Amino acid sequence: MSAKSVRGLSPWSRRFIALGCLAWCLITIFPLYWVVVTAFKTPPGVVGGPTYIPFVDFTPTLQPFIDLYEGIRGAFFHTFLNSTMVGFSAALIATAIGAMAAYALVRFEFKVRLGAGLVFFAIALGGYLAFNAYLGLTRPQALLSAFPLALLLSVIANRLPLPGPILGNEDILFWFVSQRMFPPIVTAFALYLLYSEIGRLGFQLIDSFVGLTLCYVAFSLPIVVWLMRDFFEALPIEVEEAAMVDNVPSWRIFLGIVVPMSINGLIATFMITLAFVWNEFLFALFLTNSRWQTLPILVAGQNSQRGDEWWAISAAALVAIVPMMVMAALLSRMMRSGMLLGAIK
Amino acid sequence: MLRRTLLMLATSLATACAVGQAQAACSPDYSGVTLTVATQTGPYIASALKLGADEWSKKTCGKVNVVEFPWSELYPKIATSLTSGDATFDMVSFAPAWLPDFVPYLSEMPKDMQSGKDWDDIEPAYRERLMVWEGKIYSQSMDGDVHTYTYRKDLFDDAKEKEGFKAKYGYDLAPPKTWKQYLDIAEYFQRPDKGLWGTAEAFRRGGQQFWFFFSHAAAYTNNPNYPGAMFFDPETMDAQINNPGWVKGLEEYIRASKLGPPNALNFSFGEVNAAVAGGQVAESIGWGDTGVIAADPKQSKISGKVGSAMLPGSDEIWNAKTKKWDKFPEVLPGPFMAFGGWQIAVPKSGKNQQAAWDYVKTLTSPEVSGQAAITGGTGVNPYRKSHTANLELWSKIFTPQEAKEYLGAQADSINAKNVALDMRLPGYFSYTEVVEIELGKALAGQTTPQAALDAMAKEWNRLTDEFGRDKQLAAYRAAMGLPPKK
Repeated sequence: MSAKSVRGLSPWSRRFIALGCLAWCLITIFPLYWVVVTAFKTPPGVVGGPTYIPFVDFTPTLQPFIDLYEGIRGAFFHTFLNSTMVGFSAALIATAIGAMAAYALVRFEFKVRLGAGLVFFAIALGGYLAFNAYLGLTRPQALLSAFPLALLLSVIANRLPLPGPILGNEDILFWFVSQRMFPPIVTAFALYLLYSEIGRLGFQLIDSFVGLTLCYVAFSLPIVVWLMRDFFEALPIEVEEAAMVDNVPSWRIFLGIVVPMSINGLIATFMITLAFVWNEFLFALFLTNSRWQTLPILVAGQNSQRGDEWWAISAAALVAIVPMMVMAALLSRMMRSGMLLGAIK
Repeated sequence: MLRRTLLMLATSLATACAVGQAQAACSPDYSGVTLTVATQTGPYIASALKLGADEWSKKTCGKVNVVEFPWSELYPKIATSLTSGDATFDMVSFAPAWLPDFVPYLSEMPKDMQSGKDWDDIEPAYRERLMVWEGKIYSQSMDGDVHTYTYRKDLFDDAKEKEGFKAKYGYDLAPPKTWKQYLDIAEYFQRPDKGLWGTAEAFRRGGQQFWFFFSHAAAYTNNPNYPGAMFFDPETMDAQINNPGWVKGLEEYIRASKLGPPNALNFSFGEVNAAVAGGQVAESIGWGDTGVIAADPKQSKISGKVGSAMLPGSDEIWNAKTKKWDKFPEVLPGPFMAFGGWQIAVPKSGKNQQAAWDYVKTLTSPEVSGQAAITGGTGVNPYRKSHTANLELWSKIFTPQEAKEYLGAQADSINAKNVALDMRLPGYFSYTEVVEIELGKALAGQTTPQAALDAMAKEWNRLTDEFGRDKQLAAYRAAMGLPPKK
């Protein structure tokens, strides 16, 4: 609703809308407020009935935070650092690669024969099984041989006049987005097995920075491509065309013209990706053990075998929320304009 | 030249002394060895493992890395690492009920650890029953878990309350011998207008609720005339959870839910402890943590007024074989080893098995475990004779009277002739999940106790058939300490 249309309403209607907004605001803020006050309570203070106003209803304590700080409730600093490193790396890499993919999908026309896709699928799967069963290769060796071969042959097959439909940019985009349509648990265990197999080759991916970051990059890419594609589509093509007339290479057009023009969109996408990675639990649980455990695992761990210790859960949750709130506040201006420009307007 | 020789000699001697000292400090020497142990997120159990790690490091110069996972994810995490054969963890700490699933992947405890003073010091209920699986020992108890009774001594010792209670119920106010007395006491102290309620138990799904229900039922179903028949018939593996003993247990459990604070249906064990420590309830049942937390002035409003006793029992127990109530000349206390206490084991795939078992030995030694048992927040409850014998050790947290009652309740429960073991079966979660679902319905009044228990029994029988009746029967008999069926 635009400002003009609000002005056109009667005073009563405007008051009614304001009241509605206020009520909604209270509903959305209440859970956060509850987390904040609960984090400063003692165990008897939490169970002794609902209390909301510090120093009036209850005496606040810093004990839940002291417990966190002292590492009594899990290796807080360690997991916090891990989350920060993995989160920023994955969000940065995913945004960079995803932006390039999205730009390519917007400005270049791709034609992929369905037949070539089927060739890839058949050779990748069949090759893996055949190499493993008949050539005596180990599973990781078979996997690492079959997939590059499948890719090479499918690229060649794509140049042949194979029968069947030809897939375009929209189909490729749909394929990207479709990666996020199934529940993550479907892939979590498979990914664990894949990482285990690769680990047996001597390249440790489970409980490693590289393994976790790679996984998050892969799972963030669909959303980055989808968001950035709309940002790039909204950019005026004339500027790029002018550069093309001057024979400026595509890379320079992308880095020198497109990226600066879509910086707001990139930051918004980076922020959304970071939030996804920061809060992700399932993959972190499956793919980490001791060295690279992340903050969501620690927060979930506060619900112990002895029951829900809300004071500890709230303190840990608060500590996990605050960095994202700070990031969002810092980047909010850019994000707003970025979002208005892009898909989620 | 002489000066140079003397200098060299002195240097050599100093080096030799230093090496000798280092060797003496590391006994056995595990310098450079880093062990990894998987457990739930602290403080419970994880802090005890860290305490043991510090002591082991001082002794052997090795290191222990305690890796913590959310409780709800610990089983899949351990199971995944064990089945994949990765040497991810040198040790795993887990619930006894998971042992049947893990046994194929665990190494057997070294024979030299299965004898001696420290071994004999472990309470027989753990050493001879809970730690044993098909005659072999794959894990070591590092925590003792038995449900006991906790009450407010200030209320029970109050002359006015005593008088009022006797006038109403016709007998003296004292720790209850039967569950009926337990409910009478809860009813008597139910005074919502004064911020006091009768009892606190866990009633919430996913909040340890079913162990509290099992504690009620143990008094009526764990029959010494037909041992091991509390959960299943040990001859046929037919579910017993819908027999009249269980019905009585469930009826009383539901009654207890109405004699607690207004939000009692949402209580997990954490809230039970807080309610007891906050002085909100007159009595409660639960693990040993309740007494320790309630005695701690930092966490409790009733510090110095904490009383403990064994769980109530019954003089009538259902006999699953004769399908009749057996009458006993006196009330048999019905302690229940709910959960059974954390176990620690060494996977076969571990690369440092010798060092790992050495750590287990230090962790569970009378000295280190005794310290853990009296340290609030470790979650370690007594499981050794020395834990309950040393009153002085407990004087740090309890008054002499509190310590006497607390340790007495713990020792008497574990050593009671009719102590009931928790079930340990492959697919344990599947069995307890249906209990939780049906308990929720029964507590909410959506179904009758008998109907809820019938549904549980039907599902338990189906699960038994699904897992393989013979396999489950063999596991159940092993868990109950019965010989294999011929």
